[in-house]
Amino acid sequence: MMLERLFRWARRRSPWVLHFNSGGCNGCDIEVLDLLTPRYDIERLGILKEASPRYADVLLCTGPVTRQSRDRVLRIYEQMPEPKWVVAVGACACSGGIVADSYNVLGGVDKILPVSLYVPGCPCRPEAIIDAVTRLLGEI
Amino acid sequence: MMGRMTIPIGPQHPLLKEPYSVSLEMSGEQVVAASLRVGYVHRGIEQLAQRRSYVQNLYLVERVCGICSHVHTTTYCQAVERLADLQIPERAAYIRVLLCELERIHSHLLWLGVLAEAIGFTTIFMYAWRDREIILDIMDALTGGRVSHAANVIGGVRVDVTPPQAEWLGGRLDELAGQMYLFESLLHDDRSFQGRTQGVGVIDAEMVHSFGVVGPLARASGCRMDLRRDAPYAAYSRLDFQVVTASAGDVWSLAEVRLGEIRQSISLCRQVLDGLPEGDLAVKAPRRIPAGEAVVRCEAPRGELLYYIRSDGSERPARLKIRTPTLPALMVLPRLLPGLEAADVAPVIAGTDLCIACSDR
Amino acid sequence: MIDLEALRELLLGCCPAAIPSIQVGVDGETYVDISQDDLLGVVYALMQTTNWHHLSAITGSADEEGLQVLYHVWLGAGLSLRVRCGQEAPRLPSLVPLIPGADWYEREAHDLLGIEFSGHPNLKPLLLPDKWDGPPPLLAKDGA
Repeated sequence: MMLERLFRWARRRSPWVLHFNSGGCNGCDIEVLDLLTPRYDIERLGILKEASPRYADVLLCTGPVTRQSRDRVLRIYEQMPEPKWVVAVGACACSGGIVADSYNVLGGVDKILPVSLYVPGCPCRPEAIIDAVTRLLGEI
Repeated sequence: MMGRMTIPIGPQHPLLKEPYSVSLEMSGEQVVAASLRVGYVHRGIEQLAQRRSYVQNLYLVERVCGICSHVHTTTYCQAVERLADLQIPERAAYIRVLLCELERIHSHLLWLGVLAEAIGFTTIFMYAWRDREIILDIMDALTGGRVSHAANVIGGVRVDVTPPQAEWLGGRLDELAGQMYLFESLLHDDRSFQGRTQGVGVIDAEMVHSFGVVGPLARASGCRMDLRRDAPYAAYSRLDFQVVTASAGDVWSLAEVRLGEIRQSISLCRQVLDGLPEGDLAVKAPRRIPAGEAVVRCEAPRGELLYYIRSDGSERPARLKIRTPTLPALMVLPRLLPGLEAADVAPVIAGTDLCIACSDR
Repeated sequence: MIDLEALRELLLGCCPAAIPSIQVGVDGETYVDISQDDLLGVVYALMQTTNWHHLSAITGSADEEGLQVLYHVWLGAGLSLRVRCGQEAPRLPSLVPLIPGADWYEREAHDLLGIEFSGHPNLKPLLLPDKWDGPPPLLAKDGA
C-alpha cells in the first residue's frame, strides 16, 4: 500500500515523455520541442523527454496516423512499460485534422491507441501542451 | 577484417526529428553504405488538393510543412495569381517578403539548435531556440499564430504592419541582431564545433549538379543560385541583399552560409519596414480560376520550392504539384554518408536540414 | 530569359522528325512539347549546350487526352519539357542514366500515376506503402 503511494507520487513528480510524430507537418512537433527550451522549460515540472519508449510514461503523439507509421506507433506503445498514457497533440493526432480524408491517412491516434488526453490546435500552442500534461499529472 | 553490421535508425530515434529511416551498413566504425526509407509522412496532399477549392487549398498547403509554411502559401498564391492575371498591391508584396525573411531566420535558428544538439552542444540548442522565440513572438503579434500564420490570401495578404508594430518589430530585430555574436563566435572561435563540422560531409559541385541540390546546401559548395536574385518575386527586386556562399561544402560551411543568411534576412526585414509603401493589402480574386498552367519557384529557407498548378477553369485545381528543396538533399544523403565515422553521421544528417514533411507531402 | 532562337535551333537539331512547339506561358516559363522518343536526346543536348543548372521536378498529370509529364528544368530561367503518353500502361524512358537526381521524381510519378520508367535502377514505391494495392492515387476517379 505504502509502495503504491510512493510509486504514484514519483510518477506524478516526474513523468518521462516520449514524443513521436506519426505523419504530421512538424508544426506541433516544433512546439513540443519548444517545451524543452528556456521559455517554457518543462523540466522544471519534472518532465523529461526520453529517447526510448522503454523509459517513457507518457507518449506524446503528433500528426495523423499514416499507413506506413501505423505499425511503428503500435510497436512503440507496446514497448512502453505499464502504466502508460497517450496524449494526442494537435488536430491531426486528435482526429486526422486537415488531411483526415487522405488515401494514406488512417485518422487520429485514437484509431489505434487508447488516448487519455486530446489537445486540439493547428498547431497547438506550447501553453496548451503544458496545461494538458499538468492535467494528466492530476489524474495519475 | 572488420565484421559488417547494419544499424537501422528510425523511424523513431532521438537523432531524427521526423519519421523516416536510415539504414547504415557499418564496417567497424565506418559507414560503408546507407539507404533511406521515406513515406511515413505521406498525406497525399496533391490528391487532396484536387478535391478542395483554391481557397481551401491555401490552408492545406500551409500545412505541408510547419517550419516553412509561409513560403508554401506564397508560392501557391503566386501560381494562382499568375493564372488569374492578378497583380498584388506593392504593400502586399513587401509584407510577403517580411514574413518570408522572418521565416528564414526562424528556420535557420531552428536548424542551428538541432545541429548543435546532434553534436552534443545542448547549450547552443537552448540559446538558438530561445532567440528564435523573438521571431515567433513577432509572427504571433503580426498574424495571430506562432507557427501557422494564414498571412497570405489569393491576391495579396491578410495582415498589415502598423507604424507602432513596425517600430516594435525593429526593436526586436535589433535584439536578435545583438545575439548573433554568440552564434558567430561558435563558428569562428569554438574549436570543438569546428572539429566536429569542418571537413565533414562534403558536398561537391558534381553532386550539386547531378542531384539538383539547391538552397544553402548548394551555396555552401560555391554554387551562387538564389531565386530571390535569379528570378525575383514579391518585392525582392526592389531590395538589396547579398547571396551568401561558402566554398568547402562541409557542415561548417553550411553553418557559415545560414548564419550569413540570417544577417541578410535581418537587413531585408529592416529595408521592408523602412520602405513599406502605402496601399491596399489585397486585390479581389475570382473563385473560378481561368484555365491554364503555371510554374512558380520561390527561395524557401531550404532552397528552390516549385509549385505547378493546372487549372481547368473551375473552382478546383486540376493538378497541384509541389516539389520541395529537401528532395535532392535526401537523394544525395546516401552518397554523403559512406566513408564517415559513426560519430559524424549525426552532424551530417542534421546539417542537411531535412524536412521530411515537405518531401513526403 | 531563355534564348528562344537558340532553343529552336537546338530542338530542330534533336528532333528531325517533328517540329517541337515552344511557348512562353503567363508565368514566364518556356514550355516545349516533344515526343518521348526525343526526350533523352533533347535533355542531353540541353545539358551540353545551354546554361543547364539542374532538373527541378517531374510533374505527371492526367487529363482528358491521357497523361502528360512535365520535366521542369532550371537554365538560369525556367524551361518545362512536355511529353505525352497514353493512360493505359504508360511507359517513358528514364532520365536517371543522364541525371541521377531524376531518381525520386520518377519513383513518385510511378507511385502516383503508374508510369513505368524503363531503365530506372530502382522503381520501388517511394511515398506509397509497400502493400499498396489500389489504383495510382492521381488516377483514381473519386479519391478513394
